[in-house]
Amino acid sequence: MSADRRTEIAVVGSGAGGSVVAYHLAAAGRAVTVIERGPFVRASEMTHDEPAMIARLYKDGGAQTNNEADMFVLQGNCVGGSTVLTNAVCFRMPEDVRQSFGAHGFALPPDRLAAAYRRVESVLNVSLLPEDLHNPATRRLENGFRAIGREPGRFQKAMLHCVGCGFCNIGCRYGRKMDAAQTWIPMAMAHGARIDAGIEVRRIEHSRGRVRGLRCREVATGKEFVLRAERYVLAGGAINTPELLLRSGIHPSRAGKRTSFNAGAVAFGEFPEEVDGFDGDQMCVHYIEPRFGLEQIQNPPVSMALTLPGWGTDHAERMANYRRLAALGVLVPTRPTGEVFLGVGHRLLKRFFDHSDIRFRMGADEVAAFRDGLATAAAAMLAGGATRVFLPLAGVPPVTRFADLDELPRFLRDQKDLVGFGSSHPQGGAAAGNDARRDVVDPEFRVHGFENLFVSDASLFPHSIRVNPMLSVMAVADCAAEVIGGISMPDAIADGPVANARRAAVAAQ
Amino acid sequence: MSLNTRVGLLLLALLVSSPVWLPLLPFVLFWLSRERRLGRAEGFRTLPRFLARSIEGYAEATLGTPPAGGFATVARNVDGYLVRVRSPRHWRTTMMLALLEFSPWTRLQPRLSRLPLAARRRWIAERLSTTRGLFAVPSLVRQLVRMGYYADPSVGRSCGFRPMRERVRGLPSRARTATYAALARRKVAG
Ligand SMILES: Cc1cc2nc3c(=O)[nH]c(=O)nc-3n(C[C@H](O)[C@H](O)[C@H](O)COP(=O)(O)OP(=O)(O)OC[C@H]3O[C@@H](n4cnc5c(N)ncnc54)[C@H](O)[C@@H]3O)c2cc1C
Ligand code: SF4
Repeated sequence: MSADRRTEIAVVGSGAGGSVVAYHLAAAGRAVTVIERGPFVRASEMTHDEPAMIARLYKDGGAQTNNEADMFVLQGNCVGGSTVLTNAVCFRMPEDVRQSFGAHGFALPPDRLAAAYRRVESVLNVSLLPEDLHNPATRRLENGFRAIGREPGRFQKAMLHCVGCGFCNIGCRYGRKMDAAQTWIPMAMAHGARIDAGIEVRRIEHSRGRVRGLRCREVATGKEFVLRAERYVLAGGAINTPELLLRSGIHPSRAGKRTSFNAGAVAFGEFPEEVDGFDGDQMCVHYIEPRFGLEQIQNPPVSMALTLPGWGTDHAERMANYRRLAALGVLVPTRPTGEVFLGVGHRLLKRFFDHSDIRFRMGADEVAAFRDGLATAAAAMLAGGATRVFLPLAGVPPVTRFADLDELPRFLRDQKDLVGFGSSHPQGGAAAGNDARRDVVDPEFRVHGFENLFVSDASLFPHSIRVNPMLSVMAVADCAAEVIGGISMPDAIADGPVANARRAAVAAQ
Repeated sequence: MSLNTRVGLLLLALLVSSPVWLPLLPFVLFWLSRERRLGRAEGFRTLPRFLARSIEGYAEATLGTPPAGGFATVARNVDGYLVRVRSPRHWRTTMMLALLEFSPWTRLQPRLSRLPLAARRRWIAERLSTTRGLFAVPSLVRQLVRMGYYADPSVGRSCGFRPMRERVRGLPSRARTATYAALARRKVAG
């Protein structure tokens, strides 16, 4: 083992939660080291080679599943974390969710949270996606929604001069997506933060309620060292932060419990004419209800093939009509009934099972919400002019008439009936709240019973926030940074590519 | 039944049947290392030859027109993906591919890549097209195969996909790489 390394504040993970904390603490003059398991992949190294980028940027090469292998759980594994893979969709946390977190003992005062959102939104340039970036399939879907009496919404996005290539989910090779690797991370580095990429934190060494160090391992060489700091911030994201707590024997009866998801699958409408959904931003239109959300998701060929339902030559025949396909993802916010755990294999055969497992099954009400979501998506596509709708269900023929949708209960009984079921929005597992016997983290972001261990990522959420979580993870991290560093937050942030672009625009006038 | 339970049961079954296969182990290991060597000779970095053939066979049976370089391209693209993935779950993918290849043995048929095309199609349609039961996991191989197939530019083009450089949006003046992260280039360790 190499000699110990030292820093003032150690942050585990460089995604939405970790990067924001790292920036604020570094900007306040603290010595910050961020440990990131994944590689640093520069925009200039990114390509439109889907398998290559999926392999490099996604945890387990995109193959992380629940323990029954009937649900994919997608997460980032690179500097910038999952933010590098997002569609840059930004939503604020719904007010009822904020209140419900408060009722759970995780109070986020409205003024404090609003100020945090404002700061984050200015750094990410959150604004309405311009119409010239819309892909041509969008209009069909909007018309369809209106025809069935649902008003479609447009997305707020975190982008700067996006060119609408439609490859957001494998990283932005043009550097136009304002993910953490383009914003907070280089901003933190400009204030002296150190980013150690390709290093995994394996275990937290602790005694008597105090963390003594992080046992780290270089992914490429297997070389180990201990990182010692005054304060430690876990920001590995849902699934990973609970796993690290479990590996370290911290709150083993609570860590990993209360994991929730926005779980989804994609329905496809085949139109009589070409809609060329690939030519523009992947996600331009949505419709959201409390029980489910519908979000357009057009994909380049590989990702389209991976999400398009159908077996054998049927699938190939559908893909041959790639240009005529429009797609709507159905997202259902689940209750926090999921669990991250270290299985028997991990204890007995660590060499093969050196990972946590995820247990999750949708409840009957969630399946019912899924059915309603699928029916609404299919109806909108038929009303928009689609001649066939392919539902993500095993064994269901294409839907060609509204009446076909009455058959849905027969085809969707539980999640095993779903094809391509998964989640890119895992949350919880280290839920924050004021009950030291139920929750893992206290309302001040400190792990219950520990004086110098904090959490700042999606694992804090006591239940799903219903909408896409990135912006809220960052806003909550902004709140966390204030507490962890004991710092006062600036009203506005003058760093970063967006601030630079604004200054350049003013100077050019 | 969870994936781990299945793997556990498989290991248990192997343990129980060990008197049968243990004497054959040296031959199996010899065969495996030969397949690996032959795979490498064909340019595969992770796939032994029999798994590459399995992927090609699956692709031929389920996909449309072959890519410009034939179905071997699919196996090559899958190999290119696998070689880049760093994951403690990696071995599961190899095992899933092996299960796919040997699944016809459960009905006393030749392994998948040795089945004639029509029988292979039938086997895949009847057994390996499911989200439930024993074959749900090997059925997931379809995702790897589709990834390897649609990653080929000739296939994307035949579906009507146009890469960025052929779109107005992709004109060099509009699509330059932004360089704010240039700073990171100098300072990030690892
Ligand atoms: C494909 C995809 C698309 C998405 N699209 C959107 C969208 O459009 N809008 C939206 O709001 N949300 C989106 N999300 C979700 C959003 O990205 C996440 O909710 C958010 O990034 C979670 O932030 P986090 O900090 O909790 O975790 P992450 O951003 O995932 O960051 C965690 C980081 O920690 C690292 N790490 C984990 N464990 C360790 C360890 N032990 N040692 C060292 N490093 C470790 C990981 O490698 C990772 O880089 C998307 C997610 C995916 C996968
Ligand atoms: S659509 Fe825009 S933000 Fe997304 S990858 Fe392409 S250029 Fe980048």
